Amino acid sequence: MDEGGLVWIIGWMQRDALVDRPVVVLDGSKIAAGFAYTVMPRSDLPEGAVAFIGVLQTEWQPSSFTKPFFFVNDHDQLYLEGLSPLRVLEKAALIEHCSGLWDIATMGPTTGLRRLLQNQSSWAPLPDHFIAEKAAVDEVLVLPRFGCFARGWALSPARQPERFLLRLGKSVLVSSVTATMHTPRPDLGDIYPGADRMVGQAGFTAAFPGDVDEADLGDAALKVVYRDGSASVHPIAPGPVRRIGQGASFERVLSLFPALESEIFFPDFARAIHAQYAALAQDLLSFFVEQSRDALVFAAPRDRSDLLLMFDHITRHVDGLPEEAGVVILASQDANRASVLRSCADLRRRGRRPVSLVFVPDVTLGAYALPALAEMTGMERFIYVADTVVLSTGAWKALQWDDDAVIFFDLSDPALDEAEDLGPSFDCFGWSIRAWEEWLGEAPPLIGGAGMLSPPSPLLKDARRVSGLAMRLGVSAPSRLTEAINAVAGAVR
Amino acid sequence: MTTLNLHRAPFSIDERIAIVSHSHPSISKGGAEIAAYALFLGLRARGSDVIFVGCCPIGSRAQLELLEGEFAVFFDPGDYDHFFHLAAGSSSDQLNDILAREGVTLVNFHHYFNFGIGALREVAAHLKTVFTIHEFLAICHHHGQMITRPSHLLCERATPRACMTCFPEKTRQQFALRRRHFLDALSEVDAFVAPSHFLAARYVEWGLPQARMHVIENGLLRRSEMPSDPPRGHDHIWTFGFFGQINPFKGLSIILSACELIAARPELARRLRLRIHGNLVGQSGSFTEQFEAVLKKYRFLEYVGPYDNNSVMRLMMECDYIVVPSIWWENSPMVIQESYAARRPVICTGIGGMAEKVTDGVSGFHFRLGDPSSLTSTLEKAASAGVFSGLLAGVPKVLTSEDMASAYGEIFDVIEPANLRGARFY
Repeated sequence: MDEGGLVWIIGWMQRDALVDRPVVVLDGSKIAAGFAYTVMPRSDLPEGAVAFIGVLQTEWQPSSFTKPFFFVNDHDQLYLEGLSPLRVLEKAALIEHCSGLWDIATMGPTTGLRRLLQNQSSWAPLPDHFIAEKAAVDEVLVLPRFGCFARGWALSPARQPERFLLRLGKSVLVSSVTATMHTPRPDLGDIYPGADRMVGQAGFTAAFPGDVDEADLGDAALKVVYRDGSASVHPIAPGPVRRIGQGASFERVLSLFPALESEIFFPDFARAIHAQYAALAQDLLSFFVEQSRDALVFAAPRDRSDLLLMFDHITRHVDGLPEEAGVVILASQDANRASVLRSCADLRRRGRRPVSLVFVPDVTLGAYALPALAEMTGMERFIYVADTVVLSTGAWKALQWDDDAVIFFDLSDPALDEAEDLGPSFDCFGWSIRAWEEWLGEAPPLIGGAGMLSPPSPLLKDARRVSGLAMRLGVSAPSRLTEAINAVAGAVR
Repeated sequence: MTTLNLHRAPFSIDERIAIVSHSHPSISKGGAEIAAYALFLGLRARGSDVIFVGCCPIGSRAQLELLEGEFAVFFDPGDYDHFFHLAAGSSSDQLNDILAREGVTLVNFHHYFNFGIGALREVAAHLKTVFTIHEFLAICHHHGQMITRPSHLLCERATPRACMTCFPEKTRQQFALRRRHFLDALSEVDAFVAPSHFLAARYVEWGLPQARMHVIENGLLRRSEMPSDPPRGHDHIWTFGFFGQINPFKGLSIILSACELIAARPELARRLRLRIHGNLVGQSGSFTEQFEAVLKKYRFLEYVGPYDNNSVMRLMMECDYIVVPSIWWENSPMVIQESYAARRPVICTGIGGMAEKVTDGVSGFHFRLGDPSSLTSTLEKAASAGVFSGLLAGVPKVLTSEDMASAYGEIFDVIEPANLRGARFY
């Protein structure tokens, strides 16, 4: 029985002129059925007999434990007798069994029956020799809370693809008509030589909006649905399936949709990215924590040299901090992990201030992690130094923790004249946790960190400003895509 | 900037001195550590109260041979950062422990490499400190060579933008911070010593205060009286020797390229020999193949292999001239001092510290940077008995370790105690 509820039977019968007829299945009870079949010769059969492949539309369900009779002609009481026990096959085995028979069929709706086997609702792939349609997926990008993006190709000599379905685990997503494009795939020319027109449209790129179960991305398959209602299913190996944020960055989608910001689905895409970053900002792993009400929080630079420079500065100046102030390091568990651990151990051994080390998936989101960090460390007031900022000796002397006052250390570019100031930034500022949390509200984190956001005038009006004592380690402009994502969903306040 | 020359001033230093080197001669025999060790022995010979501290890889303990008054700090090379020159805190702690335990009051660093610049800064904050500069490492991230990457052109001035061109993986800001980082640490230093005016001038231009800069030539560990040379006859075959590590900056490829030009002139090829001493360091496979191919091709070219520093005088004396074809500036190459000690004129690239130490037409000849044709014509010009005897007369005397100690003593005598020092220069 296939996914559409049809029962396929194979066997032999006395030849007559019919290829479809009503039947009654006697299997404990009598059950009506419609039977269509195609016949073909078989050398081991007696004179006048033919082999058949047929399909029953019926309520009857086959079982290995019964011996059914199929009455094919009430008038003459002709019947087909099932084997005992009845041999029940998987669909794939049936197709395999019949593989040499379709071509020698002499009578019956052979083409129609074959197409019925390519049922749209089925996710069972058919053998290559059974179908002329060929397809594959080169890349699938999965974005939880959005869906997927896929790039691949589909070749069909006779039927035109209408839409694509993607199965990942238990999730099945349908391609968006407004986000599907077809492109030439000249590299496929050898599969069907001379089919230039087909190859000229063989490539496809599509967005598949919908819910994806992040925990189950296995058993992936592509289904190509054709305009005639049939479909072909093509398994996808695990390699091309990548989760955005894990196996691929969101910029990777640009290679599939170069005008990503202009696509209809872009706002949904951007919101899904923001949701991902919001989750990252809360994903803290405490390695060791020493409680302190006031804290100097450093997001550890990803460049090892910059990282060691940060620790060198902390080691030099930590004893000058107020006694109640602690140092918190937010670091990634990346290739520099050993340097972070050794340097923190050194700091604890040498210093006389509380030191905490907390691992985060993305140090650029450090400012957004402060409220969650406060729950770990008991921190009530903080000064935050992003991974791209270095404090000068002067800045260390200017550090202070005032109750609810916000303080900005205006950034400068050390490669330019000292007079050139880059202005205040959330990459180097101090505040109370309560006020910062309140100010953030429900706004999702900006990609690239809070420093992507210019402090608004009302906030600056009441802020204390310290000029020229904090320096940028690098000045890089966010990509156009990052800016566009940050601009969506009220992310920019 | 002062130049301190060879004379034996009264030696009355009332300090316990530490000579601090980035290695120990039993582990590594580079120019800087040999110069540091020579100073240590010179100071000791002159009755000074001095110790020697070398910074050695933790894996080298078994090879290390420390004599009386010598100490070692051990570091893990894997912990070291080669951009900001930062080492794990334990190197600094070990050094401070030794200095405190030994009652040292004055420290002469000959490098911050391996210890990390932080160690120098920490020591200089509470002890009188002199820093002897041996290359351009604080100015140039490219091994302190001041030649561009990857094209190996001479760099006239390090700027954040120029440095980023050499190291596109870094930012301008990182290079600007690097300079600030070094100047900040070095501002604690009471006096700087460079073995050449060229090196000193580059550092002053970079930001070190001229008033604290001094020039003292490196002294040699040994200086023995050389026997006088027999006169060269008309049929003399002239031997030109190359001595040193064969790394990409030492310019051996210029000599190899010159071989083809020499071979094209059989009469010249019959009159000279090129003899290469040293070991291959950091050379590509293609260079090694080219080197081996050229060695097989030309009979006038000979590779003798690595040499023991104790043999260098004898080996140099077996040559008529010493060739120094470096493609970087150099500052005061030890090989030039050794050549002079062996009473051999020098044929060198006419740039930087080499041009300063070899007076063209007096104690040797200059040839154009990286130019095999210029080298070939210079070798031809030198292959003459009259020219040789003229240059031999111009070879200057070299400093011994005790001479060097005397010159350093003048600085050690006058620097102010740390707590009386003036404002930081940076």
